[in-house]
Amino acid sequence: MVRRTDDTLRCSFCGKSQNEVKKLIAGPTVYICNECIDICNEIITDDQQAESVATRPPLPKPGEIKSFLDEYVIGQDETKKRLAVAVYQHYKRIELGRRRADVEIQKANILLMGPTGTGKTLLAQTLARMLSVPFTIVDATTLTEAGYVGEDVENIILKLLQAANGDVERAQQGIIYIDEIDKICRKDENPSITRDVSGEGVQQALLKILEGTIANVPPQGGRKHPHQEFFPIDTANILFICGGAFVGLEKVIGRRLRNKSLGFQAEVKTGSHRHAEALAAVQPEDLIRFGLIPEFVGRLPVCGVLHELDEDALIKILTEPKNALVKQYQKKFDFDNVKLKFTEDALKAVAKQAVERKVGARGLMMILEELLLDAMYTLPSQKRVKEFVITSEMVERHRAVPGEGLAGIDGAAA
Amino acid sequence: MIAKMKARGVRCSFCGVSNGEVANIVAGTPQHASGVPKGMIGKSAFICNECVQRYRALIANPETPNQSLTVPK
Repeated sequence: MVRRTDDTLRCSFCGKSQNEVKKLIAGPTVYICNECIDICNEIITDDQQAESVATRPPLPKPGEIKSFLDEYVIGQDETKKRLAVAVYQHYKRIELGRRRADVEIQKANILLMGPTGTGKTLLAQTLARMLSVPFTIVDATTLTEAGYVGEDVENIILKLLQAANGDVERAQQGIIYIDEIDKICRKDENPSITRDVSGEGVQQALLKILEGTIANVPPQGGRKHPHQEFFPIDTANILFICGGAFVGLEKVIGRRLRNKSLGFQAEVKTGSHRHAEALAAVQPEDLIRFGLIPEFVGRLPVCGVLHELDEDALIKILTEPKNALVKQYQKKFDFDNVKLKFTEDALKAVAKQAVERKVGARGLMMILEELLLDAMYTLPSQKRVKEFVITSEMVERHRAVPGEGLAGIDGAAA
Repeated sequence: MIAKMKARGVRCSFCGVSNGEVANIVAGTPQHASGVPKGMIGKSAFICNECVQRYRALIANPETPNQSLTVPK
């Protein structure tokens, strides 16, 4: 353990020298400063308080989990149900593990598939909020195989540890959402002669972590090196939710379904087979054909498909959730003492435009932001405006000539 | 970075007890910062709750001189 450089004694916990701290206490091979003792004491006290005040909240039932998800995520009922059951089973499994049950229940990680902007990430975030467990979102595209430029897979555990404020025990029961999982698919169905370090290599590296292992996490992140010490973190009780758009998977599924439709009497399913319907028929073989390795697919036994959002769903997203976009903008306008209102037709027009943009619910925010930019710029300095109504004409006009929709704000405002 | 540890195979670097024998073990790892030697970065040290209490008392004692190197029992 290094603590002495150029005859200066240093704290082994923070690295500060003897001259930088008030007091330094020596152990057999290590040193600790007064500041680190205070931090350690705070951590220990917090932990003891947390344990004394009702150690664990009661596990919410699947129905309760789904109702909570309903408050924030519109539609996607089947996936929400599946997710609620999977999460309940996961935490039940942890609880049974604590009681040392004779049957060991295997963990079931979750794969979410669906077009962009359908609520994959939002579902995972809402879930973490409800369960009050550490939660982190990581991007699979930045990961590479060990030894290559990019991030090691262990860094995703480090992010969870940071989300748990360094509490290893809490981190070990957290949720990790790995976004863009479809981007680490093998590039070609045939094995390549060169190493696929950001695709198949990452899938292989993730295998053990997904299944449950003691991962050695470098506390300062970055690449591992042999002279470094690690935090050992057990991933057996960490729930992994992987999400991706899987663009093109419907074609793979379609090909399989058409293959089975051969023959004079067979029902012919054409290209009009809808994207979500096709995804709902996904089988592990399709995912393997798409580029995930069989071992990886096997470690994601729960599969949820999110449907593309239609106009009605988008209108609901605008108005119904607890943090609905319209409510958010109304709150912002309230701050300037202006009542913001949308006519029903305006909401329909916004939803219609979002469908055309094909970016799901994210499109709504883009449209509203563009639409209300002029109003948000002008209204704060106009004290006589008390109410501001957005009509369908304004939305349409704005689409034709961006920025024109709210021209003459005085006229639009009541 | 300082983190609370309850993982297996960790011992207090001061008194040598394992995490099964004490309520808490806290780990600390020097990070990249000015003045911190490269050799120290990433190397963890561990301290148990009992040592923390013992050293707090030692620090709070006005008779312990400042800038001192105190070797505990």
